[in-house]
Amino acid sequence: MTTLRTFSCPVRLTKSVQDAFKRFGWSETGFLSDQQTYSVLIEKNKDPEQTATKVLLYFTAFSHAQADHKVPVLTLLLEENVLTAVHFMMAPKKASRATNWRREVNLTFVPDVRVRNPIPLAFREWLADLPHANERTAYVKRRIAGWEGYLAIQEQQLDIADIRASYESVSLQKDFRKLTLYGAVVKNDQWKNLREMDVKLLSIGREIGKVTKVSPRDRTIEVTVLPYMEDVLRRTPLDRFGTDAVFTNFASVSQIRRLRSGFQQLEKGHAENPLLEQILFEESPPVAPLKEIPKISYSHPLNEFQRRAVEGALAAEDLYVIQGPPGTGKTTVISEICLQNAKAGLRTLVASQSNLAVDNALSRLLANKDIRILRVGRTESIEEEGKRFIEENIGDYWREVTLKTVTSTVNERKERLEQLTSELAVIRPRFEKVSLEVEQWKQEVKKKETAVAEHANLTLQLDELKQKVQQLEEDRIRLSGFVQMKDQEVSERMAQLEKLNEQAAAFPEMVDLEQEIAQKNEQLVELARLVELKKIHQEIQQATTRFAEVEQPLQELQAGLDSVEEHQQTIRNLKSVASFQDVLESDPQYATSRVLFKLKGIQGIRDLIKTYHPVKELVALYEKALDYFITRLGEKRRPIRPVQEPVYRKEELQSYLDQGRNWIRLGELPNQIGIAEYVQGLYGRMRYMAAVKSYYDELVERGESELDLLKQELLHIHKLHNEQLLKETAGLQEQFATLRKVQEDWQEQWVSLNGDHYLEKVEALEDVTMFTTERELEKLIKIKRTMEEFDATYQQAQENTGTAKLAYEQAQVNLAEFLESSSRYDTDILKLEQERGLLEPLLVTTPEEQLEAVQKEWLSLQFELGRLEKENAEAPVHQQLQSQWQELLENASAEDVDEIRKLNVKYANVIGTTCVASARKDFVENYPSFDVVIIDEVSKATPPELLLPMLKGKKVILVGDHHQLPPLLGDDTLEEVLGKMVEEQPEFAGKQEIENLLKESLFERLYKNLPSTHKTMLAIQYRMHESIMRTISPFYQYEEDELQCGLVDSDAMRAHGLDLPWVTANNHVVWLDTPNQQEYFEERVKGGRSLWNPKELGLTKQALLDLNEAIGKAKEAGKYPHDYQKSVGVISFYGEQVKQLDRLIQQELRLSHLHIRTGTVDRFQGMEMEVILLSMVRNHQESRGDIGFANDYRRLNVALSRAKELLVLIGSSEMFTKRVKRAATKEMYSHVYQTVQELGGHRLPEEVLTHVRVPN
Amino acid sequence: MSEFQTKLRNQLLRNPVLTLKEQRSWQLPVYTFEVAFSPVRRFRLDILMRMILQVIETVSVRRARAIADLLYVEELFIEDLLEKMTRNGLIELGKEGYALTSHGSRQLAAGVFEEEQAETYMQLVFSPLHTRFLPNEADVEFDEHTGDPFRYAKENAVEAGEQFLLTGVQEALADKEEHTRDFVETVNHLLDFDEGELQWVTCYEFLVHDTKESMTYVRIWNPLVDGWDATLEEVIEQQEGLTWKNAPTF
Repeated sequence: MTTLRTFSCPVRLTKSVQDAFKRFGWSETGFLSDQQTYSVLIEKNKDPEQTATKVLLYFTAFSHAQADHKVPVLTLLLEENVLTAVHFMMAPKKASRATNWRREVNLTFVPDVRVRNPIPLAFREWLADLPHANERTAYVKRRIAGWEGYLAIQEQQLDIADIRASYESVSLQKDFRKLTLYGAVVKNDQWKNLREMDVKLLSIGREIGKVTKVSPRDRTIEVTVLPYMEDVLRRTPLDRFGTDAVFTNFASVSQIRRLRSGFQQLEKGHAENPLLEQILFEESPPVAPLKEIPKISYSHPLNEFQRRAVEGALAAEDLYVIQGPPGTGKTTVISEICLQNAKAGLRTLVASQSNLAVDNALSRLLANKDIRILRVGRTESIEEEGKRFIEENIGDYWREVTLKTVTSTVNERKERLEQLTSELAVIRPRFEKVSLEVEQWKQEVKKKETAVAEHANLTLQLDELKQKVQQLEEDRIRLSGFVQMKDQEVSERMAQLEKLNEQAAAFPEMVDLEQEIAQKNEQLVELARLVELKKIHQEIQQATTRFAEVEQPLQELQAGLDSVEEHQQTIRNLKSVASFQDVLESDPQYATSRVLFKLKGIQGIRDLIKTYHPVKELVALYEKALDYFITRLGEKRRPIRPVQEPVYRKEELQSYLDQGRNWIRLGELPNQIGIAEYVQGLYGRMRYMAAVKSYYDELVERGESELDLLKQELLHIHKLHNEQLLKETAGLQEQFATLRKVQEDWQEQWVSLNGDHYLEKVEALEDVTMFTTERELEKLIKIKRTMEEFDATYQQAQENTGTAKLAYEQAQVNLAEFLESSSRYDTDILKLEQERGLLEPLLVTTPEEQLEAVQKEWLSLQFELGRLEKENAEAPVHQQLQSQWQELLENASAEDVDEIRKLNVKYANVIGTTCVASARKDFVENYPSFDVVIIDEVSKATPPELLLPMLKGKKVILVGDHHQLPPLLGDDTLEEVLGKMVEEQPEFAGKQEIENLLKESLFERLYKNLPSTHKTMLAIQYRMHESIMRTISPFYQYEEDELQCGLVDSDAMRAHGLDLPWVTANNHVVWLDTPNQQEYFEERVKGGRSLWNPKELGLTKQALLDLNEAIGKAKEAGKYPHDYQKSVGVISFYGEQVKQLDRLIQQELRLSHLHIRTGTVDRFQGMEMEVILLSMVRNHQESRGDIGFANDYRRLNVALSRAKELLVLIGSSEMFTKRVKRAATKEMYSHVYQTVQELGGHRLPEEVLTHVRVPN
Repeated sequence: MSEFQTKLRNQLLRNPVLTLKEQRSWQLPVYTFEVAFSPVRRFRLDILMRMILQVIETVSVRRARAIADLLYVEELFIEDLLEKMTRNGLIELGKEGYALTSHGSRQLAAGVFEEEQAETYMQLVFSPLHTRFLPNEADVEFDEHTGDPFRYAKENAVEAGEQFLLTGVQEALADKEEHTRDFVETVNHLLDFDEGELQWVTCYEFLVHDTKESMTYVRIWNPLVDGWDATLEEVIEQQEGLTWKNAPTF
């Protein structure tokens, strides 16, 4: 059990909810805050009109004092993650149950009247995961609507109130199974309603049966009597049958009601398996994969298919489907599944459509202690086989089973005691003997243990010694090595000395060497003097050269200084720019930038002066002209002030003057005014010229001063230059003096060293001589040093050699001493090894193994002996108790086993009931759910019937065969009922629906759509002789596995023991082939629809007589016991024919060797007989070639597969294989016919009637 | 023709489809046995509970399994009852295993102790043809052997031992016995019984034809079963059915 999730749940309360709370006496937030958390069932619904989701909370754990059987239900709207309570009510507990679409959760409410708090995310997600209940319901409603047709058929007459009727008299049929009411008074419009209603006779006060036939014309009502009422009627005198009956359809109504409630439960989500509706309706059922199951130990011997089915059924989580063709051991499989479930502690419901099938399945369950069977249902409708499992009998059944076990134990008791005594007689001495052996072996083991210890001790000592010897050996090796090493060292040293001797021989004599060195030293002294002299000599020469070098420039400088004055004068005399330039060219030292700049300035001024010069010339002319003209005018001269503007060019000035001159020259003087004007012009121009003249003067003056400045400059430069020369001259003079001094010093030295004496030698001396001599000396010194060192080495070598020799001798002495001392250990080791060797044979013995074996035997003997002695000791007590128990069981009355009965009911783990009864109120209350629901003969139940038990199972196992017949309604197939209904009311709405459903049953669809892991076909049949099986194999040819025969030897195991002209031992399938001729034709019952065939009746009669006689003979021959009766089923496709056969057998035949049962093929489904006679009835020459019921391959399959030993078909092969129109029908009958011919089973009617064999 | 026979015939012929072909009466031989016995009465104690108490009293047991193995009973049941008896203070689980409490001992004794009731007498009727005891609920008086015996009667004497008759008594009592709530009454043995006496009871036979089903059959009223006797009808039909020649022939 998983723990419930807990969420916080903010909820806004609307006014109406607050008011509702107040009405119940709470505050406006109701009870929501009274408890920390509430466990609620939540259902979610989608409102198609609105966007909000409706959430209903059922407070299942809440109880309210005022409303005992009610539960608070709060309706919330979930909108934008906010929950708003919009409605509150108290709902009945019944409506508040858990369903597959409601889920339980703990909520902590945070109620608020105003605030809109969103709910937490986790709760939101949880809610999102919840299915929409109304959608699921709508889904189921939509899908299940297809099944309504089944109910519609059955409901046709059900809305009819009870009908009362009186009658005049009653007739009972011979066997009290049928009762007819005569002179019935029924309202005209009610006659047709009576059919299928239950009949209660007021005088008897009980329900006696069901109306099967009514005849308004004869005013008769035929009633089929309930089996349990037969005996009551037998003992009721006819005058006590009264005259009033009540017809009711209460039972049928309640049955339909139950079927419909199944629909509703599925719609409401009450199925045990939450996926049931999807499994039922989806194209591919969403079944869970098989789970792993442990290995099963089977209680029945099962074949591979049966094992696969059992394993699959146990491993499936929700649904498993088993397809079981005839005789393939479905019940064995069911029994095994029940047993395995019981062992696993699971409770199983075994359900089926009919009581008979339930009882059949239960009766074949093993009487196993683990299985506790209980049959639930109305006692009177339960068959004999099932009765012992009903609640009131279950105690007695248990008593019987237990008594049987106890009795067989008690009966075996004496034998057991004898066995016990003899076993004890054997085992006691054996135990003693083995005990002795144990002792012996124990001693052996002890001996060995001592030896092992001693051995170990010796080994230890040996190991120690050996370790020591090894140590010594190591020492020895080390010592020998040392000796060897020393020996080697001596020889090495000697060799070294020898080498040194050789080396010494190569050295020169020491005296010669020293002499040579002294010589070299003298040489070096001489050389040193020469070198110094050479140096002085060189210095003197050098000084002389430099002396000469200084003298020359000095003279030059002095000459320069002498011309200074002359030069200055030249400069002072310079006047023109050109002359300056000449100087600058000849003596560049003056061309400084300053001088050049000034010179340029002077040049500019000179150029300006030149420009103004002509104007100056004109002034005088102007003066003359002015004077002339003013005179003419009689004016005095006005002063002329210089004015710079306007500017007049020389040409203009000239031409203006020329104008006046011309006047004069030509004598054409203008008038006074013209002259005045001209004079004015003269003035103007003269004022300009006056300005020019003053500028000219200024320029001339400036040019003069600039020239002077330049001269100054040049003189300055000259002066500086002169100073420089003086300085240089002084420097050179000083140098000159120094050089002279140096020269004198060297000369002095030279003299002091008597240089002239050596002059020749000095000049001859080469630079390298000194160096070479030094090198030679160094070499000599080095040789001398080497020789000195060698002496020391040689001496050392001699010493070493001596030491090595001494050490070698010492080592040899040591080794000898050591060898002598270690030799005694070897003797010790040898001795110990000998001792140890003596112990070894003991070690390889294995007394402990033998001891263990013996002890094992001893233990098992002890246990066995203990057990036997205990049993022996307890035997009298147990015997007494068991006998007492046996007696108690034998004498027990029903009341004595009452407690056990209750226990059996309480612990029942296999419960059997019909599909419809599984929905009865009391059953649902006692057994609300099952771990496993097994439904047998599924193909015979309608889907609404199947739904009822399926709702109750966590796991559902369906067993059936869709190649056999579909459900019956009353005595009729659905097809027949549908046909009748359509005839009566052509507008019947559900017709199309049902026709679709008839085409493929629920079982068939599930079987086809399920994955192969979830289904199995039991492919081995054990019922039919192999030849009989061959007739039905085509019906299963499209399945995964072919139908196989599991009988090891069909001929032996299915021998029919008959010997007739028309049936020999080899014949197991025979076709009595009637001609397709008038005299063999079918006949129609007067005023009815049903068909019968008188000729086939006759043939059947003869066949039965023959069979009976043949069995009689077989008994005489000792093939069968005296009281044996061969079971024979006489069946037909047509009810009327069965009725005729019935009467024939009852009235005309006394067949003591046969046990005959008759019935329609449909009724025979599920049964088996040793011999089957099938009267096929149809035989005509109508052009339609219709054969009605016989068209259905499933009906033919059932008809052919009932017989174990012999199948006899009686009918016209021409009709069924040629005249028939439908190709599929033709084909299936042709297969049978062909098989019969191959097996040599084709017979003509004459052969049976005359016992004359007609060859084929 | 006796009045009773007429009455039966009239009743039978109330059935509108029947025609009477033949009627007769004859005497069926039965054996009556006078038996004497004293029923015993004991405290009602379920046999399994009683047996468990017995086992606990006799041998030492600790676990339900041991009792289950000894009695060949589901361990589950034993556990359930042990628990129940412990709860009711009949037994207790001690160190040595289960033991009876004094209350338990008293109950066991009461369940075992059988109090003999007053001596009772009974007449048993055995029909060799039916091979069973007939209830004779109507307390039919037997007739002098004056009429024809039943033509297929088995008259050979019955070897009736005590066990045979005791079964008859127990069967008869099973239907009648009234049990008081806390006590059960049973008969364990007979005090006395006789060798049996051959008696005759008159039965009435009607051969009728059902015109609707076109079927002829026989009806026999047996007063000892107080109804139409299917066994006797079957005996006759087996012998004579084919001679009635009533079925259509082909």
